[in-house]
Amino acid sequence: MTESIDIHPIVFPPEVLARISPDISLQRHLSLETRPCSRGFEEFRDVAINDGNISRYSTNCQNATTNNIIGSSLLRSGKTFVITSITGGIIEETLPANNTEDVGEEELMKLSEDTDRLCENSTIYPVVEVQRGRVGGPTDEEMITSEKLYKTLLHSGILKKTALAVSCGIRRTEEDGSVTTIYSDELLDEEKKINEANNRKWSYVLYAKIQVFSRNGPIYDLCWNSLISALKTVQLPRAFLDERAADLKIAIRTRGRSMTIRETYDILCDPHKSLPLKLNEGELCYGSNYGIIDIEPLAQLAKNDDEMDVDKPTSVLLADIETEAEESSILSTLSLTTNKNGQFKAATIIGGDSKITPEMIKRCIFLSKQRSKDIESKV
Amino acid sequence: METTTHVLGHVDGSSVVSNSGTKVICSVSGPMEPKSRQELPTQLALEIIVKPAEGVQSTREKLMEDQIRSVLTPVLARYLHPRQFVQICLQVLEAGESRDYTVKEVSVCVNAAVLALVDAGVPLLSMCSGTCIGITTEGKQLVVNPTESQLAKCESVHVYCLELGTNENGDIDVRNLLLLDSLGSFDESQLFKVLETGEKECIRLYTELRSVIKDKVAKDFVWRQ
Repeated sequence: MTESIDIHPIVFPPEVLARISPDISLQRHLSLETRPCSRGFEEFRDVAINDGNISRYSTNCQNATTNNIIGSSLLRSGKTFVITSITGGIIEETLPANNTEDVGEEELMKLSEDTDRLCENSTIYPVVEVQRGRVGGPTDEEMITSEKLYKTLLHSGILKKTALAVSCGIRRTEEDGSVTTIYSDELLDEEKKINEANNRKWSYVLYAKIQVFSRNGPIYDLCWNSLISALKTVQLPRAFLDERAADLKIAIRTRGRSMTIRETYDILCDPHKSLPLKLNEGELCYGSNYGIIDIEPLAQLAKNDDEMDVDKPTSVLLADIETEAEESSILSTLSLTTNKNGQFKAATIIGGDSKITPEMIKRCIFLSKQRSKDIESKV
Repeated sequence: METTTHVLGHVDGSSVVSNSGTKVICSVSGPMEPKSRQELPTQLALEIIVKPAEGVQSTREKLMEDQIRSVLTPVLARYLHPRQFVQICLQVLEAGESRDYTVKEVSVCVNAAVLALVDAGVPLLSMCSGTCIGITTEGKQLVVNPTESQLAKCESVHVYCLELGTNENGDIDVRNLLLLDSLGSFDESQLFKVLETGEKECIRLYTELRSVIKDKVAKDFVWRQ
């Protein structure tokens, strides 16, 4: 009646174990002093950045006449691709109705600058899309990354409002029918008054579409680096008004009141001339991320008996989190945005489970400075 | 910091917390049955909803929700309620800051959520408290809990949340840094100053929260005496 039952330990191949139990798989890797992505603990993925030849101002652009992308970047980090394309628009600024002279405006700007530091900073409107082969509304991750990019850029002071101000030109039609466009920095003195007569103000707004392909790790840092390199390539097209808009006033009289009507003309963009976007170069910085995980003694692979592991560290620092195993098992993360001199623009430290010590933060800062230097040399 | 607990009748726990011009009301429902897509097989699922003082939810509130979630997740004893779900709803009553900032709201939300969780009787592994710190452009002074006008003059702003507990001897035990979110321009030494100052402030808030809870428990369990 009694049958003997043999119990065999179940052995999974590494890729199956990684799928069904990512935490054990990660711990096994760590005990071999490697990572699921076979990088060293403090080793980053290689990064390659170029403009991807997407923008209309790219050197090899084929479709410059129909392309409305004014800045772009293609970032590859490991298997992940991030494509950023920047488009723009022009908005008219609302000025006080009795804004007859411009003299006091600079002073006013200075005055409000003292009370509000953000009033002179501008930002970009990013939309992050992680391509997963399905459609639908944006995921939480996409919304959070977009918002973080928007806020970090606003608070960083990299993009100033003055850099986005439009210096408007005038298009004139000569008697012989030929059309020329003149910009205020090219104008002769007597012609400047044409521009002054027209006290409307415009500024550019920038939108970024950031697409992430083959996502296999946290995306914020990749998106930020891609956004900054795209902003560096942005060329703002020059804009002009028709001369008739600048000086055409029709005096009319209704019910005893006299007033003037100015014909409205749309502001137009120059298809050929453009100016590079002026960024606050000294403030540029790049992001990197880190994870901290405790070593689980029970999940370690068996060691040789003669090997003493008394002074083994209880937790390890991993740079540049990649693969699902690392992302789902590591809950203590750091994301630092800095330049090579250690000037920060953003820092997010989340202590999910492993204790974050000041020494670890110091080590991350040291690594992020080096990483920033490396990325800066490639952008 | 001014606090009130058990202000709402139809939920399991609630609190109102206000601190230097920012006021948040928080409700906690649960542990209860989740919708199937929220259910986690081994742990308690958490839903956090932040509603702004003005207008409707936007990506700004999504980011706040994410920050609050990363603070509360390690504090909750989630393994005790597998396949269950807790909903934490935070309504900002007074923002106390412009839309470009979220630091004050996040720090007050964290404190309100902890009190409401205690009120609801959801098991916690430790306590946490949150504070916000600004560094002024002129003089590089650290301002703890800045007012709206002080915040606008700050070169960098930081939210800081700490996991705290009390050990057997009755001493305060700093367990972990839960969240540091910094924006603006700052350097390494300023970052460590923020960590140092934030820790002191969080410990102060923790003792305050603890005494509030002590009074509350004494009042709630008066029938047991």
